[in-house]
Amino acid sequence: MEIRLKNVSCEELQKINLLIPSQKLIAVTGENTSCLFEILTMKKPVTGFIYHDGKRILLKDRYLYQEKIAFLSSQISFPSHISTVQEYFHYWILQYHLSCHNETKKIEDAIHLVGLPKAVLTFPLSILSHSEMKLLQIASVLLLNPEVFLLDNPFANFDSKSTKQLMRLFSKMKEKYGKTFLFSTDDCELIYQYADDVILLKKGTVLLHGSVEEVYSNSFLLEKENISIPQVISFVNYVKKTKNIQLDAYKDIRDLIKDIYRKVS
Amino acid sequence: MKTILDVRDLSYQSLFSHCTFSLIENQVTVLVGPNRSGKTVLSKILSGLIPTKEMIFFENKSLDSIDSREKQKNFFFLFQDASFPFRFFRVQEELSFYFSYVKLQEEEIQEVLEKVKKQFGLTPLLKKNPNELTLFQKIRLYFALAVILKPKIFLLDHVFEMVSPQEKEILYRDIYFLKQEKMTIFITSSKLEHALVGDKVLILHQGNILLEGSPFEVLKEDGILNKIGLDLPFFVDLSVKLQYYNLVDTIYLTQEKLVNALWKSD
Repeated sequence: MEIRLKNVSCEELQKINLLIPSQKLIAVTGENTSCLFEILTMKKPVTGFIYHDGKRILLKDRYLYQEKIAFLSSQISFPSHISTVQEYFHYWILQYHLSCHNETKKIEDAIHLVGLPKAVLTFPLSILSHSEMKLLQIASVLLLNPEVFLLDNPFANFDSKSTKQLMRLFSKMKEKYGKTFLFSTDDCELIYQYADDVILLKKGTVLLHGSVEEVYSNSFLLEKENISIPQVISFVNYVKKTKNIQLDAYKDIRDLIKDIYRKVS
Repeated sequence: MKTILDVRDLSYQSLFSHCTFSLIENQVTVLVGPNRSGKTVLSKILSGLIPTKEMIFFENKSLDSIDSREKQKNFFFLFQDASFPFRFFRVQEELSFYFSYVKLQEEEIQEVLEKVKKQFGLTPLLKKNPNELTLFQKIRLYFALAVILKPKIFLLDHVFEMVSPQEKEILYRDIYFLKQEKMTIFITSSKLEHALVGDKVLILHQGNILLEGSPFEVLKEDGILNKIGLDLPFFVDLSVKLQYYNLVDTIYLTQEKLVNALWKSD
């Protein structure tokens, strides 16, 4: 599902014009990223126009689209009466009126997709580690099966391997099922490594939007606005500036090393 | 180089088995481990929240033999979302209240208050409700309370992970300030980039300390670290690998030196 925002304004963001294509991994970074997510889930009253696949959507009709767009908060909180993981999923399915044929299998699949063992279903929530709770949260959003996922800073706590595994999962879902993932983060290394596109918000507006390569090539603007750039790009720029040698900003460090090898005198 | 906290042969549930390491007084020790390796559980064990018997020793006394009064004086901890509620409705009052835990003269109180307000950017926040501050501001308020309380050990569990890169740089500088206040600091993280702020780095894997040493000594072992699920920060990774492939003769720690070594200065 392609989402277009035309001249959308609210308190924190003004005159937002964005085309969010479908089937992409899109990073959202900068200021007021949660606000953008609130606009996309239509939780926030705004001026301007919102289109889904070219069709204009009115705020009063948003309930028709709740199933197509799912939001995952950065906060982790479970209702106090829920004790085990399994209880949590059942609660989630009932509370959100999810159409879930073959509930048990769907839950097991969701658990498996995020890399948790099946045994976790009987665990009490209290013994889960922070990262396990986050994976649980992500699994529950997968159950909603929306077209668009909005994830608020999901990778903050994960080690490199877990981040990689999740990104691989999202990538597969993008390719196989046409899903769109928007995730907010401060980590520009992560953005450069894994995202297709990036939306950069600053001073209440969209400063830059495009592929990660395009956006991060605007060194002058990014430096002026004091926005962090991926270290590999910073390194490549430094080498160009001091030694007048142009390296390519490879995402895999081994390719960068091969490039250095070719260009070392 | 005195040891202030000793972990001797720690075994706990299925998480830790004969785990041994120590914290050197007044040093910053960073413990990095993959997810689910037990970092938060370890922080809770070291601060006495999870009781153990004859396995954790503070100044050579077993933690289970130390009464809570002494623990309150000597240990201070901050867990990742800083969600433990502050008691007062204004930052100013929370700060003043902590002075009641220590015995200081009026002039000393004013001196310390000015010092923490300046270092941790609290002046514009004094009239705000501490529970309504941003995470970054809350962390800095905790740092200020630590300076007032002056515990010997300050445990920080996953504190750098939810702040922006710019905020993180500021917190790193705060850590050096806390070190100058003669605290011993223990930090846990799941990301190797945080190891750079430490004097000593410990790598936790499957219940044991896999690697131990200065950040430089530990980060060199990129093969081992990658295998357990931890990636090196870009620049260190580049330096280590360039040295490994013999493109440079040693591991350079600054961009300038590395680039000059690769392309000899003309």
